[in-house]
Amino acid sequence: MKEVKLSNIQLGLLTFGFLYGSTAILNPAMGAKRDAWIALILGWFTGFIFILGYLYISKLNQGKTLNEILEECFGKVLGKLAIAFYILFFLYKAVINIRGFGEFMAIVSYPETPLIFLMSVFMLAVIYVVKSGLATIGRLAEMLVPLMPIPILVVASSMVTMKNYSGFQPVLLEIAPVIKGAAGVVSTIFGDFILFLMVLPYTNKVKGRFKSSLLALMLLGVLLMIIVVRNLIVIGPVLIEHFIYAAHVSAQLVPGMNIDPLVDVNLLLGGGFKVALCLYAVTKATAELFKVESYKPLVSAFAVLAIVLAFWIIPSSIELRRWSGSLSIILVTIPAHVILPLAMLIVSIIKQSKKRKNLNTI
Amino acid sequence: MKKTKEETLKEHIGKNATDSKIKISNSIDEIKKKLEKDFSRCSDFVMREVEIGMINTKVIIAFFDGFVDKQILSQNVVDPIVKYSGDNEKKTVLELLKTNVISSSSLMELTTFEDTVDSIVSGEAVLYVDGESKAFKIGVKAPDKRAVEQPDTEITTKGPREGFTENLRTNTILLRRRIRNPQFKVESIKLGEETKTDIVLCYIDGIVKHEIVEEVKRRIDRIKIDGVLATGYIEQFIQDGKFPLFPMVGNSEKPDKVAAKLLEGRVAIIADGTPTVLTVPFLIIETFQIQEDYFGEYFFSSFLRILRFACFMISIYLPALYVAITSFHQTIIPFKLFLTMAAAREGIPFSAFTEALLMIITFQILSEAGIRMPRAIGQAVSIVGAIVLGEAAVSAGIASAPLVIVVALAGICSFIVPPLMKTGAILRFIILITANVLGLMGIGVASIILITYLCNKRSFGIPYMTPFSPLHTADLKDSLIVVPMWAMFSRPRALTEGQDTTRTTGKSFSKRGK
Repeated sequence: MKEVKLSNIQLGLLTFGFLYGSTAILNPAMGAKRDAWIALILGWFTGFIFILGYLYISKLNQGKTLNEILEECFGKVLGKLAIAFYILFFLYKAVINIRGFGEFMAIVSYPETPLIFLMSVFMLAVIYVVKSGLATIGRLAEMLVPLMPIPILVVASSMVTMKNYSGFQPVLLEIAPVIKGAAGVVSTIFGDFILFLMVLPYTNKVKGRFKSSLLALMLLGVLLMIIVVRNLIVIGPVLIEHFIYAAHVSAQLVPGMNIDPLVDVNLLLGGGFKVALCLYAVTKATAELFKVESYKPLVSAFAVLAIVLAFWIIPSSIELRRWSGSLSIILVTIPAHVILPLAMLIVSIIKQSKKRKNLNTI
Repeated sequence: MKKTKEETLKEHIGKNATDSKIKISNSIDEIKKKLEKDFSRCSDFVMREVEIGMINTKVIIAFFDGFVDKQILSQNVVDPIVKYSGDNEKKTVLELLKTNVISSSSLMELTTFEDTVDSIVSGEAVLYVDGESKAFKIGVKAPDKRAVEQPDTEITTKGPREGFTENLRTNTILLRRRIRNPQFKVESIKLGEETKTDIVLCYIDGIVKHEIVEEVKRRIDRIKIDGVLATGYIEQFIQDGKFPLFPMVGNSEKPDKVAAKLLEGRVAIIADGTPTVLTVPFLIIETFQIQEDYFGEYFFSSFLRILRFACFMISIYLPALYVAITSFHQTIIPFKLFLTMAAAREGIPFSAFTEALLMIITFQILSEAGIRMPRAIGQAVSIVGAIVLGEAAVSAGIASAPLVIVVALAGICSFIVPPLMKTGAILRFIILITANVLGLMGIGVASIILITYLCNKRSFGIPYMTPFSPLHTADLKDSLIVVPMWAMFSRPRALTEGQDTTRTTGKSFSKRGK
């Protein structure tokens, strides 16, 4: 069953590509304004703890996917309910990312192209990628993820000469937005690592998993830091609130050339990995839940469902803006990111210690 | 009653299978009748009846005229038989012929009639003896006339110039002269129900992975075809995927190149009658590798590798980028350039896409005509082409000058990587269309699908994109960069894992002055 083998490099790059996702254009921790970098650091550290926890769950349940872990921890009925919840959660993640991608493309580059067409074309690539299987996704990550930081670094390095740091002052005027920003970073970026419980059983080495995932996390943190600081320097804390796509604006501000389409392509890659893995997790979990032999026939069906849901859940771009700025976008992820994993962790630890005791007595 | 092709083919195979059990008849008259029946209406078939001198046993020598070297045959076989003056010293006639009479160096005993017929049609002479149920196959094949020349398709400025010929034995010798090692194995297979072409599998035992050899054999065994007239026939049967977009099997006419591939753990397939040799497994990186890269000047070689890769990218993406930028993302172009481009496009009735499509098709027509035409006319074609593409189209207001530059550059770049030339032509069209539909996003989506397709591909079990993905850091030294020969410590790991992977040790390079 678990014949797909991902190498540690592939796992690390996949982690990077997936978590990076759509942050290329959506400024992380935007709500915290001039303290966005503090919020990011805070979120980053929390993210470290979260990801360590998820990795530890996977380590305790060697070679088991999220489905099997849930069923073992909570029993047949409750476990299945939890799986259903996770399927919905991953679907929601896919939907919100597709919608964000479509909105961005429609607003920035293709104002006269119907949104559904943009999303369908994007989905076409994603369907093909997911149908090719996890091994191919891993190899794809090896080819494409190293390209992702390049536009960011190009934009950032072209602004090295800017030395106006007044945008950072005063530091920590308000505490609440910083904490909200940090929570936002965790809920939209780092917490999504829970999805990798579907991927981790397919790696070929147990050793080095922590190392490669955490290394990816470190690099990602550095990159996000560059984005946040750059946007603050270039655009300033007052204006940044009014730009939805701050990264795009700072790319446009590079003097002498116009490289914003590079950033758009970056989104295509990052968003592509995010949606592809979400779709993979949804279809794989569904296939395992209903004991379907292969998840591949389900891919196109769920992809179409995701596009439909994208219009149904978020009717307009204003709605999307309101949703991504609200507190509920954080709250909705808490059961999936915190409560269930915590329960899984505790139950697994108890089971593990019982096993050890049994072994000792025998 | 009409039979389907498969049925007749099956019957044919079945007949062969039963026939092969027929023993060679004792009576020479019977053999003669049978041969006459089998080779009726073959005017080039020769059956020579002789009696062994002193013993008076009849023998028949059967062969095809022109296929065997008649001088050698009469010198080594017919003369000694007719002039034999010794007597039968307790030996059987066969033993006598084998040890005392025939002075040919290559001799083999055959027991079934079908084998003898096979030998005759493949250019050997067969000797039947009266009263014996065995025959001799005598290797007196006439040498081929075409000499070893430099191939037209792969021209090098440095290094060996020899090329393969149509003769199978010449080709295997060209390889064996380079790899003087009993580990260099040459396995023979016959293919083609009608043509019975000799196919040879070459590999170096101890370097090649056994699974790859087994897989190649399995795939060749599966082939059921009436004739193999070129290695291209085999290529289509053994490649991975029914309709591959990219070349999945390596082609080469140069023995030094094939020898290098064998040393990297690949299997070569040679067919009689084709100077093109196949090598498998084939990875995408091989399309950018050229023999001269390894003859020193590694900085320049690495530069050329990267240039070749960039040229391939330009050849498939440039027209599409032009269309995408002029029709979707005009803001990217610097303002002054945009003005000149707008001025150039003024008065042109077509959209950028139509324009590009027309020019690319024209270019393809011209390049195809240039390849197929006799050389003398080719010159004329290229002059007409240059005028049509360059001057006339612009002044007639059909194409804009920037587009002519773009298409010409893309076209020239496509010739730099010959193995990907055909693939590139198709991809250029596909990506051009996606660029017209959705601009840069269309190009991006098409590229993602393309790269996924490439990552999906495998050639004989080896991922097509090796060593980039899956990443083999040790193999990267011969990818987009080329390291000097003394630093290529190992053969490609992906191909030779589990076998002998050492190519050179670090000690082979001595530091001078120490």
